[in-house]
Amino acid sequence: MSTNNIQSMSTHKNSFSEKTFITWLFIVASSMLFIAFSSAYWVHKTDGMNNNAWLSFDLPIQFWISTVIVFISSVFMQFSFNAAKNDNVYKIPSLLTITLILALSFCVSQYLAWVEMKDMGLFFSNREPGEISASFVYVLSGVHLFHILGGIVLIIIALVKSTRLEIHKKSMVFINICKTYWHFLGIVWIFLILFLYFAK
Amino acid sequence: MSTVEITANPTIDSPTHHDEHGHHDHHHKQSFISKYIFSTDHKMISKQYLITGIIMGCFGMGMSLLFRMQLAWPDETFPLFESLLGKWGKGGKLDPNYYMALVTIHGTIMVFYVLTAGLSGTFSNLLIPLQVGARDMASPFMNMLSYWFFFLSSVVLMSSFLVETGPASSGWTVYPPLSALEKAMPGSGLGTTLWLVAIILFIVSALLGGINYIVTVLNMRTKGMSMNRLPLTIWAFLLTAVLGLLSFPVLLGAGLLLIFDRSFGTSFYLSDIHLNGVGALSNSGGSPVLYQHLFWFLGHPEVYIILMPALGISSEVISTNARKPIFGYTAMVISLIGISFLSFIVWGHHMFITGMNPFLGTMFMYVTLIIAVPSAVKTFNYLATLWKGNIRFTTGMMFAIGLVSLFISGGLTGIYLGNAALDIQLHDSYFVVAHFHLVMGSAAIFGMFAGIYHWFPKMFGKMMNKTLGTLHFWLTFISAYLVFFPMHFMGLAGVPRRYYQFSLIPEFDIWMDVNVFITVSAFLGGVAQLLFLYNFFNSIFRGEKATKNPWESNTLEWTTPVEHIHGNWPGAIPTVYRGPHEYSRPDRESDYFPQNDPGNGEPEHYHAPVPIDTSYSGPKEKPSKVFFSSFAHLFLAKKVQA
Ligand code: HEM
Ligand SMILES: [Cu+2]
Repeated sequence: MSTNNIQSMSTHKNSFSEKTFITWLFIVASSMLFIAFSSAYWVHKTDGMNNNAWLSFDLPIQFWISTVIVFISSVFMQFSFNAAKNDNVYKIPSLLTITLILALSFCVSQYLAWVEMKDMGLFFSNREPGEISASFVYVLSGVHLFHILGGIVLIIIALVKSTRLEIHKKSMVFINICKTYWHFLGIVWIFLILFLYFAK
Repeated sequence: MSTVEITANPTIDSPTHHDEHGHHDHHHKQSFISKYIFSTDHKMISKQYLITGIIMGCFGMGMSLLFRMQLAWPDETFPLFESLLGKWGKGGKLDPNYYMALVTIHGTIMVFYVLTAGLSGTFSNLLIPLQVGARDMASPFMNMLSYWFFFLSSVVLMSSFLVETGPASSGWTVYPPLSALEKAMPGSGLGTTLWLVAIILFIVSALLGGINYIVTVLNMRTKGMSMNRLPLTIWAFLLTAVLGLLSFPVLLGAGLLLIFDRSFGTSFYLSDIHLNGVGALSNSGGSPVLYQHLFWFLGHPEVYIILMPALGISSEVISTNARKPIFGYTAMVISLIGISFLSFIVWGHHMFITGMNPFLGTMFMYVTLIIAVPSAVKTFNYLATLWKGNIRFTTGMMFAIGLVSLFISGGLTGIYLGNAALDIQLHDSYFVVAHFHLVMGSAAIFGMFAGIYHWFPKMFGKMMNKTLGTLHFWLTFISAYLVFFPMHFMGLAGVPRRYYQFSLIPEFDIWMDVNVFITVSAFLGGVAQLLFLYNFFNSIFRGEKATKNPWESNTLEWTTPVEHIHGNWPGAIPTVYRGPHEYSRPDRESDYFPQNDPGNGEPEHYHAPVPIDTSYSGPKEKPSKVFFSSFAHLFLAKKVQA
């Protein structure tokens, strides 16, 4: 009886859990936020170029270092996920710890990038009309960093769970959410830096 | 059993979990706090939304009456102003700045707090789980958070009436520079800060709620409830939630940039501004039009976020009470999808006269006019459903038909406003006020009333008084037209909106009699709402007891017991065999055919599947040991000893 019912039910239900679905919808919502900011940037830039009021500047090197860090952190996040999938439960905490350290270094590197921008004379509040480009860089990277903080909280929770052996082959929901969200943030950052590079 | 967090697949776990609860009704006693305050039950959350929405509605309506008094009798003094508003009504005269504040908060309350949260929040929460056949929302906890963010947001917004400089006054759209410069007008100070905080809390609430609605509809339908058997209410709530999910984050973006401009010295929206006595500001390079783009990217979908639930509710109420299948179910769904899609590409029609490229304006004009097509499809389908129906004039039905009327008369003027050229004359005039109050304000309020009267028995287990309801309907219907119809003519003659006093300008002074007429009619409408309030609260406590399916409706919510229970159905969740609108089928004796009625076949039961075991079967260790040994496993490639 029950197997039959599970099958008939699955035609009406998606195969993945509600929590994963919720994560994806959250990702859609925050993508809209980044789309809004980057379109605002683009529109502003076109306007500014027409009025000779747009300052193009090279992004500080720290932003590029961050890009490498976030990429590696995603790789380790994936390793953690794979370890869980293969039931290598005794590897997950260390892999997550490395991911966490990389995530924190990303934050530091972003901070150093802002310091560098300040040293270049580019502040959050602009002096010249054209310097709004710098304000936008602060906003985009700042809002992204804010999302990263959320991701760090998720990683810490996953780490705690993994030490309690609550993440393994049969219990993948949470690590899956972490992985999805973290990859999303990595992709957003790579998008942002390429966008800022090509549309400077 | 393991907790939900670590189950491999809570989708199929949760029904069983709840089934256990369902079998023994009112199993465990809940404390007052967990039952009425921090409740995670969707039915209770729905009531919380409704009551909060009604309270906010009273504030919004009260404000409109106050500023209507000012418009009708600008030279009179009303001690009422002074006693209510204190220094803003000195000597019984309304302060011009405060007039703007009242208009702004009135618009904000009506649009966001009453018709977004009050309408969508109430009925999505009540009906989604009940009509799709789910025990509760996908995440009851997020659902509770959603309500409390909304509540907090309401409190923050209303608290702006208590601050020295008054509430935000730059219109419900809070355009910069008025909203960006603290010194621009009194309300631009703390009042606007509170407005922005309130809206950010509101956005969080809307996203938490909306994500839940989408997941519940797509993931948690009962057996047999395929998408093409969903009641139209659910389609409307689903698409509304999708609109919110895609557009509210953009408003958040707009708001954040505005906050940076206000408090952190950036100039996203500011340039070349001279302020009285302050001289030129240092802000340069920004553009207020950027704000308008971001705002209206939400703003236009927002009007459909308001309207679509009302349309969905009317579809259900009309079909049930006309005892006929809804005419063109698929067409109804497709037109909702069409409206949703189009609503994202028409925002420019609010900005025709910002100096946009005429070519762009023309594009926005075309897509705007195309919205008339799905809207007309919906209207004709309502009319065709009513045609030759065996109509039962319940109060809900009357309000639903009222919605159709207002949707037509308000919608037609949208075609005028959508014309880029005509809009040069009509923009920011009372024509706009007339248009949006009919098509969005009144139509959606009527949908909300239709929903309240129709589902009151489900929410509170009591019936509302029909005589009072009929009176409420007619008075509201008549006053809506008396208030808003004359505004069209004022607008055509060029009377601008958001003006404090018209008697000083001869061209506008000739409309004084009309203004008095409108205000008197508005008070008539106000009295009608008192009837409603009395009926609503009196019926909760003293109303006639409701039966299980008082309107003889087909949908699943009427198969649940009158007394609410946690998990909705005492036994198994009903299985669905057909669409929601099979009324008056010629081959059936009774004129309705509930979705869960197996007909001639044997009733099937929904058996919740066996939960998957998610506990860890390997060797167990203390967390700290696991943590440290994991490094050894990683770096020294140590093998796990089983
Ligand atoms: C109770 C009956 C109502 C009356 C008498 C009323 C009256 C008015 C009037 C006269 C104005 C324009 C004032 C001005 O421009 O100076 C106004 C503005 C507005 N109303 Fe209403 N209204 C009512 C209900 C509603 C409802 C149900 C909605 C829901 C959508 C609504 C939404 C708005 C909005 C968005 C504005 C524009 C606010 C702004 O300019 O920023 N109103 N109302
Ligand atoms: Cu619009």
